[in-house]
Amino acid sequence: MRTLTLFLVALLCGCDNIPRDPENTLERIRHDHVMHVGLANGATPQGTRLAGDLIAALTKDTQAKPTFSHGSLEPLLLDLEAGKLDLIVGARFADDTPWKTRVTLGPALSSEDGAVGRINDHAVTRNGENAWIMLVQRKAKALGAQ
Amino acid sequence: MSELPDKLIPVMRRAERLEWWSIGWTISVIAVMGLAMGSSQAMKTAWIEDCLSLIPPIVFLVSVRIERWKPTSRFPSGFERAPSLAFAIAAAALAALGATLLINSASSLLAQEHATIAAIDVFGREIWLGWVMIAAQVYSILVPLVLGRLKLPLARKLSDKTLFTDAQTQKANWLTGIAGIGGIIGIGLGYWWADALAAGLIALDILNDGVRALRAATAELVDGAPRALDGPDVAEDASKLHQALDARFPGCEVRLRETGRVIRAQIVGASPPTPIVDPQVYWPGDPERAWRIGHISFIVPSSPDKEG
Repeated sequence: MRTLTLFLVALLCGCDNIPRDPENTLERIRHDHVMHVGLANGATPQGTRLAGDLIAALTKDTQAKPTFSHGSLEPLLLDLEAGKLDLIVGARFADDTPWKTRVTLGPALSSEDGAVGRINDHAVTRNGENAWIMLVQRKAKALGAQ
Repeated sequence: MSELPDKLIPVMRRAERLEWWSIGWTISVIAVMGLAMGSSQAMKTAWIEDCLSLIPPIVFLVSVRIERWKPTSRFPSGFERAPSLAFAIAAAALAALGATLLINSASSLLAQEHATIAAIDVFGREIWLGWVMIAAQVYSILVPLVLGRLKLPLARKLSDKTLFTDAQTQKANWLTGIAGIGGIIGIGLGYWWADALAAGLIALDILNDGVRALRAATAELVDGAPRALDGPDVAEDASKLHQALDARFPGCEVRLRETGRVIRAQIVGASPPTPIVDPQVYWPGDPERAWRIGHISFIVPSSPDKEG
């Protein structure tokens, strides 16, 4: 127990660097000054505006230029899972989308009630890249995402 | 309970009270862990384990009540073996728990699942959920650590395998808590596999404990020689009793078995002593533990038809 306590204290001293990304997404973005962003087809005008604001906020924080890939949502999600994209914006999902276990959906930037249920607009990140996810979600919340 | 000496009755009452407390505290741990669970495999593993760890105390409390029932025409031998059945159930729960957790963590590792642990807002301040999980894990370690340590000496005094298995489950719980903290810290440091690996290693340990307990439980249910509390070997006090009875009844076959907490002996090929003596006089060790020998029966050489 004493060893555990010492270990935790030692760890807390260095907790500025926690969490880190297993695939170094945030580190790479800051280092290379490039972030790969997927723009999903079918975004609403409000979604497009919020996506622009989010990318501007991330660019300001990381000093990285966005490179854009346009396309249908599902191929973009597969690219995100494979690590070819860092972020997808303009992505619209149902509340109970099965994708929510395969990728990380940020807080809803906007929502609209459709005929068959609520559709939410999320910024999407790759699972497990926790430092990058925290940054994206912090910026999304600053834009009023819930 | 009828076969417990008066001195041990307060110990049994204390064990029962402890098990009630155990259930209450475990529910509080389940609630705290459930709230902080997130998508960490080790957290899920620990949470499932916390839920399953309710089984041994419940089984213990039920079995000690059943054990006190008076014999009936349908159950003429009474309910002394209720603890044996309880022990088998508790052991099976422990083994099933280990196997489930092992499969879960192996599948997480194989699927290379990267657990997402993002931030939450606590009083307007952003905090990494991992720290909240670690705090929950620390609570989930403290509770079984204390309870397990309190239960072990009672289990030894009462020779109660269910209580002992329960104490072992508590140990497995706090070990899992430590592994869970290791896993979350691993994720924090960017090692996605640390979480599932930590969960897997602990699952192996739990499975091992469960299989050992299950072997001892099945041995008891098929009337094997009394087994030690902590494993499938023959209990030390039973071996000594066997030697003492061998010396007392040379040339006879001595059969020992355990029903619940007490040992029953059968001497094949000897006549009962006259006058009849208290079976406890045959107990070779500490007289305080003589209650362990509950009953001795004799199968006399001239009546082989009585052997069963």
